[in-house]
Amino acid sequence: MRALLILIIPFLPLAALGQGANSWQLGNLPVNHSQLIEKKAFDFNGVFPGQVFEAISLSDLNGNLIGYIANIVSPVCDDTLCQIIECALFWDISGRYSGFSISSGKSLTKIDHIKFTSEDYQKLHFLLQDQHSVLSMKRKEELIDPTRKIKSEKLDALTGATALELKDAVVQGASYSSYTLWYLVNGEINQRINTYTKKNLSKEQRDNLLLSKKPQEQLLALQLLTKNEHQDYIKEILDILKESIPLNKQYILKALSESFWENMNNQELICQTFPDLDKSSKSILLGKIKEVKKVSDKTMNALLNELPNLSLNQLEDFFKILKIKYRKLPKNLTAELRLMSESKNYPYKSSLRKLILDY
Amino acid sequence: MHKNLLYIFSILLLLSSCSSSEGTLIEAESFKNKGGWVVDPQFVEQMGSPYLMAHGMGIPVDDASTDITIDKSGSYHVYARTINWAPGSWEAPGQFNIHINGESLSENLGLNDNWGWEYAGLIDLKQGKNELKLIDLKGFNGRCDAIWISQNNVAPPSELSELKKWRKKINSEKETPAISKSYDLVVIGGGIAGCAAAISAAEHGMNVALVHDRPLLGGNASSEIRVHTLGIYGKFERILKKLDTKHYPNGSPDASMDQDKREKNVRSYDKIDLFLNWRAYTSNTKGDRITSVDARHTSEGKTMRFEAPHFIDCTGDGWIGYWSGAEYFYGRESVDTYDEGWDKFGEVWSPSVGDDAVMGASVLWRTFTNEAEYTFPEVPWAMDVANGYAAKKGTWNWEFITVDHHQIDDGEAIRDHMLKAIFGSFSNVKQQEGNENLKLEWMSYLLGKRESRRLVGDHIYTFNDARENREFPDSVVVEVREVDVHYPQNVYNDDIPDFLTDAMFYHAGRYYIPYRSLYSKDISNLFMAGRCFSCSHIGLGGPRVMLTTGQMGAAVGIAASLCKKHNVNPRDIYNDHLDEYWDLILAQE
Repeated sequence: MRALLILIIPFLPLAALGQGANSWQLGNLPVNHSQLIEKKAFDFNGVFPGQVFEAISLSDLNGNLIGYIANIVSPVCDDTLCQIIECALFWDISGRYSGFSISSGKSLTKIDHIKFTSEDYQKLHFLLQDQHSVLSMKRKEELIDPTRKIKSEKLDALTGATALELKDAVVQGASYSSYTLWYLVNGEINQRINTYTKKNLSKEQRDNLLLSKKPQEQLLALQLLTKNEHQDYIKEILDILKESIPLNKQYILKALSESFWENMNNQELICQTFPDLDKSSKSILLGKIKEVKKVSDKTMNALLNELPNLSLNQLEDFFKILKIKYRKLPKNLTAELRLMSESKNYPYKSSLRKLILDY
Repeated sequence: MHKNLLYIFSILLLLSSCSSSEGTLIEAESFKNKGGWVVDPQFVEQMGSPYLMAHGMGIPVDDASTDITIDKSGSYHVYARTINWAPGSWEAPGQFNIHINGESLSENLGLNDNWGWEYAGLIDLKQGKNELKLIDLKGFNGRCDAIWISQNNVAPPSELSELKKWRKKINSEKETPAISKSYDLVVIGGGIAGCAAAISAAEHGMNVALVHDRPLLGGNASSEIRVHTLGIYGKFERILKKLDTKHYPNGSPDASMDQDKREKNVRSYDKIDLFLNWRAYTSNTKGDRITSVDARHTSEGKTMRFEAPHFIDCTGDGWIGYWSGAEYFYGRESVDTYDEGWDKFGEVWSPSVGDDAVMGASVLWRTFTNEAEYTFPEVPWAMDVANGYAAKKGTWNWEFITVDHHQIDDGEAIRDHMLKAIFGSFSNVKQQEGNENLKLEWMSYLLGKRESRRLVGDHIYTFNDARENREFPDSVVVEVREVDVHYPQNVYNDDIPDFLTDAMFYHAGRYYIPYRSLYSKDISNLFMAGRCFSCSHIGLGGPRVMLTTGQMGAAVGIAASLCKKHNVNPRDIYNDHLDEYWDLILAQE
């Protein structure tokens, strides 16, 4: 089955459905087989009782993990209406599904063994990427609405119609295949891969992943950084705070140690990313700064510039930070804050006035 | 010594001069005719009082009116305690006006960005009866807490603790409620858990007070919030079928049918005294025991004391435990606290460092196609929140989760954020071709909360209890529903509106909740049932739905009856009377 793959390094996004010599590939697939090292990573359970598949890690010739593959041969339902599926499934190194491949001459099928169309494969790939599909809360027996039956054209049998609420979560006419594949790519294997990668990632590759454009891989690398290493990776951390997804920003802001925040230079650099942060990250950052013993001028200025954009709770945290910096509010700052509290467009005028008064 | 006496005398003189100031305080929620305004008691602990709100969905609501009696004719200054709930560079959406005897006061109200007194105007009033009206100007959730009428042009205090004292003085309110009632058991909170607790206790011979701060029973399942019940019945099917809902779509008006059933069933128990529209505001303790709970009527303002040997906290927010000094949890524990990690979802499932981004509250809403074209007013104050999103209805995943907002302390801000999300998204969908006749049919103004304070019991129920299908000698609650934890969609993409969430489902199979999670570990006579039971954040993910919380209620109702029989505390039921407890549970099935 492995020989069915066409492999290239690295994973390349295939924007459209790939079809060649009656084979199908979709997603970010590794190609150019000769330059990859395959190694059995672990066994994982399939959807049916007692079913076990092999997860294989794929590495480049330098030993860098590229992703994972599993070759699947599996039934999808308990009656004779469904054909066995044969395909290869791929995951990236963080454990997220990245694509599938069907070998030449093979095909996924729908009811009455009708072959998947190009659109069906595209829809399947789209559905498999949704980790939060409604399928995640359904048992197999809930796939079919027992009150609605459809007649098989090829076999003398009746079969159930897809439950209406699942219509958009499956390829039409292929509920069981969609369900089986979704649970294979989004089942226990996700966390098994994540754990395996964390154990087998080289430091060099981890460092490269910190700058990955794939947020899940970046988070995985961030989780492997120890608190003692944060200072050495300040540049990467700043880049993440400027450019990554909120989840990664929130993760690193919470992970930074007290001693990191007590360093004036670190404070200043981190606070300069404030405009690039999402709301929750801003709250986390302010929560960290309000716990420090000393606040630098540059930190204060960076936060002051953002004052008009703070939420009410963030404004209150800002005043706690002000109190670390100034026992008594400086006159020029008081005047500036008063001016803001009188601005027509500022939403928290009376709260700001009270905070100034209570200082 | 002489100087000190003089000082004390001066202070007393000052205080007496304050208390002699003339004026009439009218609590808005006590208006005789509320017109289209609704009583909102959700945020009493944060802003000080229930209030009237003009929940018109863009159409000004009918006037609220009441009569006031003035002792002496003359010119009076009128103040209203109100707020601009959506402050910014636009016209305030919740503006209203006061009319007295048909005359409009000079100032529109609802303009300040915080709860406080706004000047409404000066007016001549006649001696005797005068009619006062609240006129909604915008239809967008204007709110009025109280009106102060005085010949002195001095606003009452705005600061919350001062205001509380002032109110007490003006209303001549005593420290202790004038009326006390004694029961075998007091259940506070009339959601599904509270109703089930009251029923099971009543069936076991207890005289029960069921105290609830809304006019309707059912909490999140009520026709005011309209979330369908989920989960299984466990050993309490007979009781829970009196209270549950059909699996209608969330937000459906079908909720009213189940409402009728629930009300009828609870009222059929002679041993349950139902106190609707009573909101508990404090508990009184002696040592580690609660002796009574005080509650206030949400519109009439009168107070009542409820005494009992045992109490059940079904408030959802764990208020009774909180007031009594019970230990409680709030927030998401770090993944290592209870080893609750699930790598499939990693950080969003259980964070490396704990935080307060708990599951949020939903506000459900729906639209319909009107016969005629309908123009929805512009809502510039909602557009930042809607963030370009367009929708015709809202369901469970309209839920605001952020570390910046606390589910209790910031409850009103969360609700208002959801109002902006709804109005803004509806406004956006109205711009799309084909939606000319679309109109808002219904939207709740009550938060459908998922998570809040969790009171700590002898057992802290965690994800591992579900994941490992742990059975306990006191597994009084059983569930098979997935462990279902939510997170904000925008953690993956900041462009997604912040009011949309996604769910993570862990299929755990059958799992059990022990009785020891249903009573406080440090308040000796306090049970809890509902989302404030003893659990971790992830532990709550499965059992937070209403048939499961209903099982909790039914289970502790029976335990309370044994406490009465043996004159013992909840913990003693587990230690010394577990077999008898099981016999009673199995006998009632």
